[in-house]
Amino acid sequence: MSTIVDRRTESGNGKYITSRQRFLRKNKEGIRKAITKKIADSNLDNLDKGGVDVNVPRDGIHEPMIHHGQGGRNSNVRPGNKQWNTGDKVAKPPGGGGGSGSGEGDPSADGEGEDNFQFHLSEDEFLDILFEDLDLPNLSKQNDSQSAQTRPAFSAHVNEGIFRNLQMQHSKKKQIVRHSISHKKNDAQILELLIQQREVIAPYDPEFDADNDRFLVRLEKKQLRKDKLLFAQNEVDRLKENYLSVLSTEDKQSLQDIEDQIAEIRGKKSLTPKWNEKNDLIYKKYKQVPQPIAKAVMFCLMDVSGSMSEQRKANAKTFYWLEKQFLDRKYGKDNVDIVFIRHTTTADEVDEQTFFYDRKSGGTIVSSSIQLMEKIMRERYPIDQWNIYAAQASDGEDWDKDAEVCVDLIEKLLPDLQAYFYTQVAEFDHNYQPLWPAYKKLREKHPDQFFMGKIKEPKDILPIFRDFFQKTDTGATMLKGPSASFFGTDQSYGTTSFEEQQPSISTSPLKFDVA
Amino acid sequence: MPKKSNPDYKDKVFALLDCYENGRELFRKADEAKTWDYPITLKDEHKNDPKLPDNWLGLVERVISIIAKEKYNLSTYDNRIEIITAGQMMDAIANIGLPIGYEHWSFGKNRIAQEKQYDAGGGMAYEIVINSAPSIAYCMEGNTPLMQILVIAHACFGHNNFFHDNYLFKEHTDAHSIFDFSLNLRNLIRACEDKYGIQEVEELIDSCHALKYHAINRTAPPPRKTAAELEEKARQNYLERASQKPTSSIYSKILPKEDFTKAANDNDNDGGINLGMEENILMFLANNAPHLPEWKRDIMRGIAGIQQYFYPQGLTQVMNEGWASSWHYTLVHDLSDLGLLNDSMMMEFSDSHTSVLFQPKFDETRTIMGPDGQPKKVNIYNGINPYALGFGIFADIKRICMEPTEEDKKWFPDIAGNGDWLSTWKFARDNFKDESFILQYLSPKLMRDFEFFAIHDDAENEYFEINAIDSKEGFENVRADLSAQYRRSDIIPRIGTFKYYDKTDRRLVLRHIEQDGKPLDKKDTDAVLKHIYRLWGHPVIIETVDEDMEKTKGRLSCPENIFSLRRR
Repeated sequence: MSTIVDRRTESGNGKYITSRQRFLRKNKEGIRKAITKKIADSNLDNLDKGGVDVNVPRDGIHEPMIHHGQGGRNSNVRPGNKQWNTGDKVAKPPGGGGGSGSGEGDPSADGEGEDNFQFHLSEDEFLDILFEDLDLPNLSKQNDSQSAQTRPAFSAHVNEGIFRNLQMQHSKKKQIVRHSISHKKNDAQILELLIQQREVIAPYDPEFDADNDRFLVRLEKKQLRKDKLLFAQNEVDRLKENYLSVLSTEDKQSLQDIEDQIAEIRGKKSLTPKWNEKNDLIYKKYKQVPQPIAKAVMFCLMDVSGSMSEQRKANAKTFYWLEKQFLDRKYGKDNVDIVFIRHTTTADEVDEQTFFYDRKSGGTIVSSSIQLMEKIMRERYPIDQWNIYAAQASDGEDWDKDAEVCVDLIEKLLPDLQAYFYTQVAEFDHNYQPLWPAYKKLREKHPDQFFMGKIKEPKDILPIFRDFFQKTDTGATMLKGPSASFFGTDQSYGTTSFEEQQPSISTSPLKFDVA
Repeated sequence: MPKKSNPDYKDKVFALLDCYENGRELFRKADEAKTWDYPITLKDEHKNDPKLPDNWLGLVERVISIIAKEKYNLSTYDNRIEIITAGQMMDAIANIGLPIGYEHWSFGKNRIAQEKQYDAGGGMAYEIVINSAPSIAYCMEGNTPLMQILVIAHACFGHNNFFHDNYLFKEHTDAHSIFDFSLNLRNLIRACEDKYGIQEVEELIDSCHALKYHAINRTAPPPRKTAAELEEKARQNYLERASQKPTSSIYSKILPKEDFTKAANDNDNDGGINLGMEENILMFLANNAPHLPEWKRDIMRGIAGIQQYFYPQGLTQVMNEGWASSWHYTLVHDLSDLGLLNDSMMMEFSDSHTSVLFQPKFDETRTIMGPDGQPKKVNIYNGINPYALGFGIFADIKRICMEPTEEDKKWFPDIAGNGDWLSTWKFARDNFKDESFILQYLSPKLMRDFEFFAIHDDAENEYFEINAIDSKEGFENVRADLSAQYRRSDIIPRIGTFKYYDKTDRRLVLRHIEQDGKPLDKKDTDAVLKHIYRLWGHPVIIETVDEDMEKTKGRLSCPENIFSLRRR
């Protein structure tokens, strides 16, 4: 019998997707390189559009097989002879390559013979890998009391409730167990009576042997109550059918008495209520638990004074974009608000276009932007409903005294913020950057809320970003080990944090990397 | 004696079609509507007959089935036709055609390569068929009605019948158990991944895949034991184990006791134990490697089992494709003779059929547009097309049986003019593999049609030597060379176990028996040796010996440059 199956509508074919993920996992290093390059090269509008093309060396994904190499005596049959006769000799082409295939059907041939294997990452895969191993610091407000929202959560099984919460399977199980227990006594009585009945009729059976009663032995062997009952009942029925007519009157009478008793017990049994509403029915009970705040707002603060070149702004912009994407993924796209604040000597809230592309010149007072942020925060984003993140980008320049003002303002705000990120986007360090030393003290005081880094060129962006959002065991995020040098000296941070992400190479002597 | 074909098959086909409204028009109607999902309606009196197919594809399958079974006596497994998208087809190809594949990065790589080929305008397979019961045939959603007819005839009756009746498939594969086998393997691998980590399992599978061409028993396994026999064997094993004292000897872990005693008696004077030439290296390691945990051995045996399942397919590609192509050709013409197909369908059929069977000459070029916009000549020869060769030979057998020439009578005295091409075909299907099939049935006429010639390339000579088909010896040489091209041992180096040195560093020596002076590729062999070393846990060496097994011609080892042992 043949069958036709239409499998087209089956969603996502698991066998391939997992294998693809394994493949990507194996080529993580190459993918990371490609992503870093893409972020450094492209501008914000097309950063996540169209995914990314990745080139990995073929050697790394080559599957070796034992096969014949060049040399030896090969013969190869081909179609299309036009000119040659048996015994003709043809000079080998120089280089010895083309001629005869030394390994036709060569099991290890990868086909194309290029040095690199190219594949394409979709936008989702691109972002997945980009944000892998990363987590937001202080993802949601820890304190329940701050939360204004609650949601129902399962708390217990109870015997009363509304129909919607009725647990059918649990209830039925309970009922079956209860019935089974209540029938146990009745069944035992019925069985006993059936045996009595049999004892009355059995002597009439010529095969009956009182000393060696096979019926009782076989009855003992039955494990289940219902099997025993059935077996006894069948035996009695059989005897009745054969010998009822020859029974004496008294025996008939006693048989009838026992029959009545059985009927009475059976009647009792059937009277057992099907559902005992008090005991059988089980409902789920819910209680209201405070819900973590699931909305986030990101404040983008940027210096747009004359010293901020287009390149510096572009770097800052890429950083903002990454953080926005990351928040989107963590909180859901609809739950993230973004507020752009630009400042020179004064600060104003603007839209995205103005923020990134409108030129403005003037001096620099950083504290103005922080003040404006505080104002907006107090007005529009109550802290019991929003997770608040702030990201500030600047070239580090500020009026002399203002840096201290900023530190004070931020320190006052920090308890209400989830985290504060500061990136210095200057290409080089010089003496007119009072923000950095001032913030460094703040960083030491609040290592799990205040983060800072220097972006000197586009390739620094991703390492710094990964560094900010390094996943830690405790859930809180901090700068760890290798980043110490990041503060002490002005060396570029490089890609050390990437290497950390690589799967560790085992030291067991039996393991090795196949080249 | 085979059953004589049933002349009533036509009546049966028409009786079936007459159960439907416009039954005899349905094939043509679908072609006009350009959809294989053409609605069919049963007549009122047959409305409630569950045995009648309720869709167009089912009806096609049933009609072809009547012709194949009644007219030609082809026996098949039940068919399960699955309609899939191009993406799903690529998934299926990437998973090496297993019905239920396990997960591994290499399949992800295959899939990406497939997709690139597809995007670059490379063709997509019309169908895949799996040697299982029921036999699964994947058909593409994008096929035209005629293509679906062709694919069903090709896959569901050609390939399916070949799987059912060829001796290699009968001996080496069990179509009924492959689902369970591959499902169990996948579940085992998933469970091990959960327990021991993806990395560990992935490395093991890498090693198994590196040995996948050395995971085959060339002789057929004994017939499957019945449950009672298995139970008895388990009982015997248990009694045997219970009667033995526990032993701490390492040898008992490495070799079964009797093998060990045999090997110990067989000692060469250098202290090694002769292992015999065991070519199923993966299975040897699974059973004998000293340090592997049991779960690794299970996965290795599973993957070796999968390779064994694919073994006949590698040996019968030309025959299998030739057989299937011959049957789609025959069955579609039968449908046409019954008046079920119209002319445009037959034109489309000829087009598809010839493009599948196209055999370019070795130097044939085609002009295409290069990436720089300039027309460019590229060589389109890509080896001998198995469809063309197989179909050619079967068609030629039919010709020799029915209309032999004098030449045929000389070369094929036993079948020329016997008038029963069907039995001759079936005999060939049942008893041959590619190598012997070509040697047996390739006729001079077909060789002339293909214009075959053989190039001999001896690394010691500065020239190629040509063997052409201009003489009797020429014919025979070219035929032998072509046959050898499908000989597995000529393609895959012959490597087997040789010695185990228990008293020194527990090294394992494998032996490569050289053929035609062809050396091993050093780079890849070294990489595979590393995999074997990882499984074995002690040094591994491959010795190359010449064909007489007298002279050692080279050795490769892992770790590199380990010393050879001094003879005692």
